[in-house]
Amino acid sequence: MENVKQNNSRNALLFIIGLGIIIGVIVPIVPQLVWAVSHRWAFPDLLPEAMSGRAWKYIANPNSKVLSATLNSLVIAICVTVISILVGVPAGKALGMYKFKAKGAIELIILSPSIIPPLAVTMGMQVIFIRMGLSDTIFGVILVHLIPTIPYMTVSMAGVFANYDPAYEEQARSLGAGTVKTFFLITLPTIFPGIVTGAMFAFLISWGQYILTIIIGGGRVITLPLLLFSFASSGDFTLTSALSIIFLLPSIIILVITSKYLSGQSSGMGGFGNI
Amino acid sequence: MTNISLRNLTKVYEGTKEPAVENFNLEIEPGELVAFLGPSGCGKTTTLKMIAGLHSVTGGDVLFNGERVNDIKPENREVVMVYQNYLLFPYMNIAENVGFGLKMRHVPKDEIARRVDEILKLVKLEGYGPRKPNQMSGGQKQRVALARALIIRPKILLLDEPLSNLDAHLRDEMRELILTIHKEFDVTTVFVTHDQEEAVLLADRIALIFEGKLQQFSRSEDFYERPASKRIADFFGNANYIAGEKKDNKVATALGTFAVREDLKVPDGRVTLIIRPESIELGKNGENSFETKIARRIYMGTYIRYRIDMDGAFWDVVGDPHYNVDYDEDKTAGFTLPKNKIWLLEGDK
Ligand SMILES: Nc1ncnc2c1ncn2[C@@H]1O[C@H](COP(=O)(O)OP(=O)(O)OP(=O)(O)O)[C@@H](O)[C@H]1O
Ligand SMILES: [Mg+2]
Repeated sequence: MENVKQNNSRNALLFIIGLGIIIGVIVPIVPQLVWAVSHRWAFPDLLPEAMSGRAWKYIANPNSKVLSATLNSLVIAICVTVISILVGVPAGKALGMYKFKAKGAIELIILSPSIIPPLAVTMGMQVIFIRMGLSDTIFGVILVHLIPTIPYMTVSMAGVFANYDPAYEEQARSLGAGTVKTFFLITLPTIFPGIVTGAMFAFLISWGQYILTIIIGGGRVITLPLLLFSFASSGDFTLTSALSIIFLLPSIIILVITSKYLSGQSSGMGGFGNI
Repeated sequence: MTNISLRNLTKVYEGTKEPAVENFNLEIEPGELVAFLGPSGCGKTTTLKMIAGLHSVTGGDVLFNGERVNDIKPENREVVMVYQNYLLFPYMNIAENVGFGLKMRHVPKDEIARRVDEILKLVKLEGYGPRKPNQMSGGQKQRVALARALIIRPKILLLDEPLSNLDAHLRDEMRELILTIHKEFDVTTVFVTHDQEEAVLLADRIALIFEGKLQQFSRSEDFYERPASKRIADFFGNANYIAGEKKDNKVATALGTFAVREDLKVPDGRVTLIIRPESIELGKNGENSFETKIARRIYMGTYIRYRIDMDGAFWDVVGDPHYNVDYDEDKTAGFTLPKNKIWLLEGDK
């Protein structure tokens, strides 16, 4: 009896949360979906006067910059994600699992970019980047996107490793697994959910970055948010809506993946399993 | 079968000054079941991990059958350690967990399946193969961990506190299982415990460890009858002490002179006389008897316990379980210290 009651209240809670997500996330997208395929949509009308594929034709046109901006965004976000993983995983392991001298100071240094507004840091960096010839380049934009993503990745991996019991690795070794097999069969599956979550958010941080990109990219490195912003200020709702849909796509994909992935038992021995 | 020798084995953890394990010397016979016994933090796990190769040694050697294995990696030692908290790999099912060691040894799949079934039967978990670890109880997990270790037929089995996470009933069962397994597999086994009763019940010999130092390594009877120090005597049940002066197999104390066995290898001079509460006889039975006051009479249900006044100190005496003799509090009564139950330590501190 007790159990049934608990289940009921839990289901109700889940329902309310689900409803909240639908209202907060999905409803605002609906008008955009409509806008993206409409010709004209005046205020009191419930539906647009006429439909049109104009926006999508424009987007598909190779001269429109949309494809190249999307590609830029994608390349930058992927590079940023990969570098964040490569730096964040070992750094998170060190912070989460080991005690060492000056750990507090190092923690502070890693976290400082996310405490100080990135804009302030970037203004200063721009000068240096110009001198080094890094401003106005994709490489420079990638570097500057790392300012918010590396601390994020490091802190979230530190959380994963703080819950991680290295005795699992010892157990595997004593059962006959060498270091390589131990890493792939034991360590990786354990921390993988943590890496995936961290990586997805690092990707999104980079993907949505506007200010850092425009300062360091100097208007030459055009990414999707930059394009979106210029269309939005030009007042072309149809095109803006179509672009926002492309812009939203990764977030939606990631939302679906995370909700599936993190609600299961896949969080393994450490990671989010204990949180 | 494998013998284990520890020679001057020492471990100092990085960043610490005090050694966690200091100058261990120990010979474990092939097929022996040995307990590492000691209070929390005394270095039991550290020693196990050095035998398993999971921790490097700071000094000294680990030898298997006379061969130094210090530099052999854990995966090549054929030594399996079973942890107190089971450490079943959560994303593998029970069969995959148990078969892990065989998979690492590239045993063909169908043979792994057959041997997994076989060993699950042995630990009474037939048919549990497809379950996930989080669907198992603590006792079941412990048996899976044991099966996972035994399936590779290790040279040495190391069990770190195998019983301490189990409730009393399961503990009895697990104890039986460990004994059965030890017999069946003939594997040299070391298990860790801080429960002296458990060590006595299971082990052929016990290594008692205090603060990283091996105190005594012997059969459990010796800890009761021939403890190497007061502290050891106290760790194994109750003990009564009185200081005295030994001369020619006699010890003169404040309460009289007691005769002791001739074969005690303690030189004449200041000594501490030790006797267990249950070894003291009620009544004056000839040699080594004396009279003293009963300070307290404590009814224990199955027997009576007396506290007797020994020149300012108090001794415990286990009374007659049949109540044929029953002394009253504050009365004087006679007691006898049987000569062959008296043990002596050098010095009177
Ligand atoms: N990785 C480590 N780094 C530093 N010190 C350690 C480490 N592991 C253990 N120690 C210290 O070494 C000593 C012995 O630890 P060990 O784990 O061997 O004790 P134990 O006898 O197994 O205790 P318990 O019964 O609590 O498990 C303790 O003082 C402990 O704090
Ligand atoms: Mg321990």
